[in-house]
Amino acid sequence: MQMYAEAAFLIPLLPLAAYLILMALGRGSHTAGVWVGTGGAAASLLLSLLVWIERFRKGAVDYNDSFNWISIDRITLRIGFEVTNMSALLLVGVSLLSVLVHIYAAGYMKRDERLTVFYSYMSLFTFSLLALSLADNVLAFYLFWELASVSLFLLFGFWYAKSTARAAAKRAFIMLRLASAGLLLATLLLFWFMPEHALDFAAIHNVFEGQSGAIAKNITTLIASLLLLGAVGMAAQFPLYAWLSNAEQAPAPASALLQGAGMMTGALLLSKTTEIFQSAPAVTEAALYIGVVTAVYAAVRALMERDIKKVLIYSTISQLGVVQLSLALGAATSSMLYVLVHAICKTLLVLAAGHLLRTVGTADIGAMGGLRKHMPLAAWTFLIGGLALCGLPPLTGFWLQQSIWAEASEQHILWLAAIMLVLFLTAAYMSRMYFLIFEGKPRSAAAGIPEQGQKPSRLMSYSVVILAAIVVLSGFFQLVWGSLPEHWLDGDAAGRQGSMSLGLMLAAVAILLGGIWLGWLKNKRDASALLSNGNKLKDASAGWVADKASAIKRSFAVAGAALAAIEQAMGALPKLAAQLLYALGRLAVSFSLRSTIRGMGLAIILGLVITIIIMAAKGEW
Amino acid sequence: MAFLTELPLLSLMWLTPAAGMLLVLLTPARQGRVMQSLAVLAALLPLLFAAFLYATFNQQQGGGAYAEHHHWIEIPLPFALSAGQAYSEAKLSFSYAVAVDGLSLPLLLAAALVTGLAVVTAVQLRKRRKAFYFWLLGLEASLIGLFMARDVLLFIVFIQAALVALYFLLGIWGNPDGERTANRLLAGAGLGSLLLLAVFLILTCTAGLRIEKAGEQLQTVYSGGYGGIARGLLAEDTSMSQEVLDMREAAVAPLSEGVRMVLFILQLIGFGLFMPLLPFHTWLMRAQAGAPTSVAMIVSGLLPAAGAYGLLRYGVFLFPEQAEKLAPAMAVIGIVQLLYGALLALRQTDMRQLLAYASLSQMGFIWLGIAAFNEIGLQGTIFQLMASSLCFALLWLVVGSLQERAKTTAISELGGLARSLPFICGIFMAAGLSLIGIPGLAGFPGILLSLLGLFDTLPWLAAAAMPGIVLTAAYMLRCLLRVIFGPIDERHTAFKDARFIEAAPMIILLAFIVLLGCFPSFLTDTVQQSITGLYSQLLAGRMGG
Amino acid sequence: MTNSEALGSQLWWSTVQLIPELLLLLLLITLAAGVRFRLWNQAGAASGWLTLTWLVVVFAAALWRMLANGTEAAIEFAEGRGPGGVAGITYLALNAESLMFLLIIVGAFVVVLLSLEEERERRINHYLYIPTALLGIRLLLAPSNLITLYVGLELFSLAALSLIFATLNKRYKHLSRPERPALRFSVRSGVGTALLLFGMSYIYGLTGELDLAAIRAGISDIKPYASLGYMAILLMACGLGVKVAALPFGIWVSNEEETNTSFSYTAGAMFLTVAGQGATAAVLFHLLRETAIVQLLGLNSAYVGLQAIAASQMAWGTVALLRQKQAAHILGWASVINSGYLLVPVALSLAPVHSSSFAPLGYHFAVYMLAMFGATAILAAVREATGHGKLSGLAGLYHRSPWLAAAMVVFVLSFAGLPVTGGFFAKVYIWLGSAAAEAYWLLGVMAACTLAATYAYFGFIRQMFMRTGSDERSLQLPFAASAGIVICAVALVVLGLFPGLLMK
Repeated sequence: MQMYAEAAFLIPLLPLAAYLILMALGRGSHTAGVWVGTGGAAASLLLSLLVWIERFRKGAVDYNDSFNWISIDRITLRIGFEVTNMSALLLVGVSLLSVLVHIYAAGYMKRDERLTVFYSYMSLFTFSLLALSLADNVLAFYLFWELASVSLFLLFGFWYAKSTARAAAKRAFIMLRLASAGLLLATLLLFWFMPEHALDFAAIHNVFEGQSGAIAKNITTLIASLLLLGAVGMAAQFPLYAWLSNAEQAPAPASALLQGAGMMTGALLLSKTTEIFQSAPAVTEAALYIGVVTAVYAAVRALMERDIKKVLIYSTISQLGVVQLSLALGAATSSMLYVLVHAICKTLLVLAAGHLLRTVGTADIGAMGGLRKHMPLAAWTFLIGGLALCGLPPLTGFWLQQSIWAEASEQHILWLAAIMLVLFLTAAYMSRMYFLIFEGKPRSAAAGIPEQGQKPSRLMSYSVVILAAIVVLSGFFQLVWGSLPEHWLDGDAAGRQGSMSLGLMLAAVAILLGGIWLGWLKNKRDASALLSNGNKLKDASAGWVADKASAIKRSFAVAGAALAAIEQAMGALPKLAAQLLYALGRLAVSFSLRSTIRGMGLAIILGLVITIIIMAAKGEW
Repeated sequence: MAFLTELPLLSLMWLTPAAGMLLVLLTPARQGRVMQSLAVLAALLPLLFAAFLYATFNQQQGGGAYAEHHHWIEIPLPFALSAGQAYSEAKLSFSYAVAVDGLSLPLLLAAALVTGLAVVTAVQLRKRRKAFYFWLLGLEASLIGLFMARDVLLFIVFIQAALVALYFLLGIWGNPDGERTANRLLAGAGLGSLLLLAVFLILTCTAGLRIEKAGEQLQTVYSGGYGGIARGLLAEDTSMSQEVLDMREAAVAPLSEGVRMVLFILQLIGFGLFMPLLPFHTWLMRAQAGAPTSVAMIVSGLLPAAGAYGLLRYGVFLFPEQAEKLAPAMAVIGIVQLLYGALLALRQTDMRQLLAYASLSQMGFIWLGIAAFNEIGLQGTIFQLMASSLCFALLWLVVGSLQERAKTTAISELGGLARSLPFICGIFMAAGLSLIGIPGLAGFPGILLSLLGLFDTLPWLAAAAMPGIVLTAAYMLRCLLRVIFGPIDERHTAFKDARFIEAAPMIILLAFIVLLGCFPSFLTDTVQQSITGLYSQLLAGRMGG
Repeated sequence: MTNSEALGSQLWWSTVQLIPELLLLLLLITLAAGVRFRLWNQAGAASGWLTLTWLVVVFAAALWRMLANGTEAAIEFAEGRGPGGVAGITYLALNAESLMFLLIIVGAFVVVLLSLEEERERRINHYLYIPTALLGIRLLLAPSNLITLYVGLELFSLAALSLIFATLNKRYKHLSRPERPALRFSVRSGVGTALLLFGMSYIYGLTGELDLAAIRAGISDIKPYASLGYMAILLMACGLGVKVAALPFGIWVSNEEETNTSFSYTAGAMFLTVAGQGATAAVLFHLLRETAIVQLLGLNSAYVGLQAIAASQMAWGTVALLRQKQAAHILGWASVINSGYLLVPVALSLAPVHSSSFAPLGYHFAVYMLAMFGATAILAAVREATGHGKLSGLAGLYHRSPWLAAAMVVFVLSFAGLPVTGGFFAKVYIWLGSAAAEAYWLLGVMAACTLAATYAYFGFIRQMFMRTGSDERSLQLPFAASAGIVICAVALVVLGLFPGLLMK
């Protein structure tokens, strides 16, 4: 009985309702704003939990329903939602994270007078994420992703007074626009090449599954590459990662939700259209390379960064690189689970960082040190989050990592090596950050006596603790039921992940410990370096990105100037014609004035002669 | 509301503003308030009629019930045909024929809405209000009439009446050097309307000829009616007896292929002058940038709609083969115009100039929709026309109220207005995003349908439109963020937010934009009625005929 | 009917036909007597009111005659006796020519109305030229033979000469004798007459006939000399052209372009120009249609020739119009453009297939006349008020006298051929004619000229609405003049909305 599944479309509508109410409230009451925002998210969490539980009952079949958005005689464009195991899990994940972030934000943004406006943007973002996870066809996916990018744009530019926030919002929106342009093109291509214009993922699955050749080879590659462009943009992969790097401008809860739940949907597109990628090997190859390059590059950047938020952002980018890598390898379900776990840990870490920011006042690691004594809660939650992210054995991260490694080992040893390197680097920068912040001597006055920083409100600590509990629990959840989650998600998938060799597990633990040791070493050197002169750890590659952007801007300016010249010329055309007419006018008037009798006679004779000539030419003469 | 169906609704729609003109003229200038309310009433009535028409349109068969046809000019011509045929005399007949169908109804609604709101916002104008209302109502009457005219001469009368009204509006109230802008208008739109007049008259003489049975003897009629011309051009009228047919052959040589192509190209240029076609756009750019707010709303929203509508009805529907042959060229023009406008908009420093070039670039999508040459493309064109007229009307409203407060529209001088003007900036943001084509607002379905349609026939050109979309986002955001976000200048902190008279039109327009964005079927079903299988008939007619 | 009765009835019948003409002759005599014997003082408006009432009587008589002739009985009666007409003056049956005559009488009426209080201080207006001009035009409209045509034309020139002597020459005492407008005019009209007679002599030489119908009969046997026939037509056309053009050049365009701006154009001069141009076009049309010389001799290049003349006249006028700063000069060159427009239906009517008749020519003439008279009246009033004829005199008229400005807008729109005014349909009708005759190049020229001319005509509007003038006094107009202007403006708007009325 699908009672809850049918009502699944309500889940995204609740935050949308909250958004509309909050917009109506405007800058009015704060408390009402908080309650409406959090209430919306909580209601959708409750409903998605019900849907999720209903999925466990036997005989739960996927449910799909849609209404037609535009219908032109034979062709109709439909928007709808489908409830499958994967989407149910995603729903729960997104709504859970958004509820916790809402609670956290109540504390974090207490003094900001535009709190209700912030909550309205957050509920719009939650609405688009929930709708994305429910979307059943490519067009719906495009629609809601555009809405998500708009809400991101608004969130980035929330503290609009800062010009850096404004620039960040603009760059983010334009880059996302580029990515969604790719997705739009893919939708158009799919629309015209799929049999009877079907756009929903199920149809895509059947058509591309058997490589039945229903669609020509080059078209599939084209579609796949466009989808890759879209996914790369959404999941902030190598060429288009710059927009996520200025997520630091956004308030901490917003960047938490973005890096956690937001990035989940980035990977969602790839997972829903894996069949297209499988039938376009060249594009999968490219996806693999992009994944590896992003993961490694971002991990190295994270190792170098001084700003705690930047470190976390680059770690998100590198983890997404890993996810894209695993998706391209074909481990769809385990990579989606990996993304879910990563989302929970990353939200925990970002919220904890926000916590730190509130108390210490600055995000610069160089200025912190030895905070464990003063902020034990932050230190513990930070530690749990970091270890879960790196995949400490008992926690779920480890098991999912193993299944991805198993998949990678079957394909090609190079990918396995890459993933191992990334794990090593992740462990390194995580431990470096931990040691720099919480261990050693406090390096600046602020870090030394955090008490006078305002006491973080209870709400913030509640949500951080709940998150940490979930991370630990999910670990044992994995131990107790073994690899139940994969079966449940895959339905019939045979124990492909079963063959996790013991050797790989031991290698993983070794790499983990090596990484931590390297982190500790790096922390030692950095700490001493920082004591000597403050800003040695300059951001190396910031320059590279900046001049790339300015190069584009310059080229547009040059093109614009050239066109303006053409515009000038076009404007001058009528003026030229006017001058010509005036000149003719002067001639005509002067001629007719001076025309004496002689002139008139002459003119008449001339006229007659011409007519005679014409007559002769026409043979009438 | 039943009584409304009996009234000659269509004629009333453009007669009420005309009557309003007279009333405004007669009320002495002293009673400003009486004159103002009269003008607003006369301007909003057509909106009421249009809404009623739109609501009851779906039940009627293609709005046939509302068509009106009265004889306007009947001139007997002593037809001294050299061969001395049997029939006695010819007749030249131009009729006052108005009708509405799926193609023109949405644009009619948009025209009534935008012009009505334009008159409402004209309330804040101080300089010579009486004359301003007079000419603004005149512009409204002619624009509304234009969308419903079904006789070529009537169409030209309305276009040229609009031209005259615009001349005065731009000339007297245009702020930077209104006179020069008005002269450019005269050159640009004047040339356009004269070209169209020449083409239509040639059509009346050749395709508009039909032989009628008047009493017992036959009568040749040169008629300007759209139906007659369509029949004459598209498919030979088999209903006439053979004897009549050869007489028709004697009377006029059927339009040869070359002549038809020349006529279509002339129409392309004629209408292109109104919906800016790239090389002919300079006058419209200055007209929009120089016009007062309510006139700019109309010029940037409705003139292109009138041009595109005219091109569709009199150009593409009458000359399907030529249109199909020129479709790739039109698509290329569309792409070039899209990028050209966007790049120029990117470097503008004044909001008014920026909006002018934005409208030039958005019209690129219209050309793409027309070039698609299939039902989806047509739906996309109409949707984009409706959406861009609403979006630009809203944008001009906002720019107008910003200029009223900050006395300048230079982007560099405005900044961080969100603090002092949250409502106006919110509307500005929404309108900008709708122009960019964010789903949920009116811009998106238009762009989607146009590209979808074009993708079927010319996929590579549709792909070339993608940079245009990104550039649109770029220039619109540059302006939005520069004006709304960022640190606020202390001079601007004292502004008061929108008064009711400013807020009401903005809210109405935004409501329409959101309605169109979320439920595009509201518009596509109406248009669907009259164009089902239109293209196939047109082309089939050619293949068959 | 016995012979005498037939003769008697024919005598009675011919006198009945000529009542309007006889009345005009009577008016001429009374006016001449008035001037000769000082029956009323020169400045008195008596002569004006007398002429006015007299014109109404003439109009009624002409209207009655037109209707009377129209009845079937009259037609079969006229046919019964062969081509009606005494001494070469055909009777005006129910056709376009009589319509044209009525229009000209209305024009004369309006002109007299407008000029009643004109130039009060220099009371030299004695309206002698009105009856003479009307008689001349009457002969010109439907001559049955060449001599009548010549007589009509000379009569018309006499009228013009008398006007020039009376009104303009006095003002130009300071000019040397040959420069005076009177002499310039008479010399130019002399050249025109010479050309006309030279052309006629060719025709007479070829066909030995003077009567048009006879010429038509005899024309076919001079096939081998077709070229001479064509030469004759061109000469006559040029002669007529020079004759008519002489008037505007004589009056307006003086040699010292900028210096003397106080050129006074009177409504009378305007009437003569407009009526002259109309009459010429009508007579050319009549001549070519009656003799059907072109069709019979197969000289189709004649059409191109005439169309070329019309087009060049329009283009010349438009281009010259663009530079004008003086209100008078703008009107002068506008008359040149419109006469070009009048020639177009004439040229087109020769085209083989074209079905146009006299109607477009008549309609355009009516609209042109009304607009010209109205505009002249207003500009004359402005010149009175400001003392100089420049355009800037109109500045800021919209708030000085709004209704006058509104009337001026109607006239300007009618000149430019924009909707709601008669000018629009006149333009459409003529364009339709050229479209039907497939003279597409002519259509193009007309479109270009209209566009440029519209810009120039809108100069008035720019002055009135967009410029603020120095003096704020509102413009006073004598009652009669404002009545005349109102008549013209309302007639134009009515013609614009319902063009069919005139066509019936």
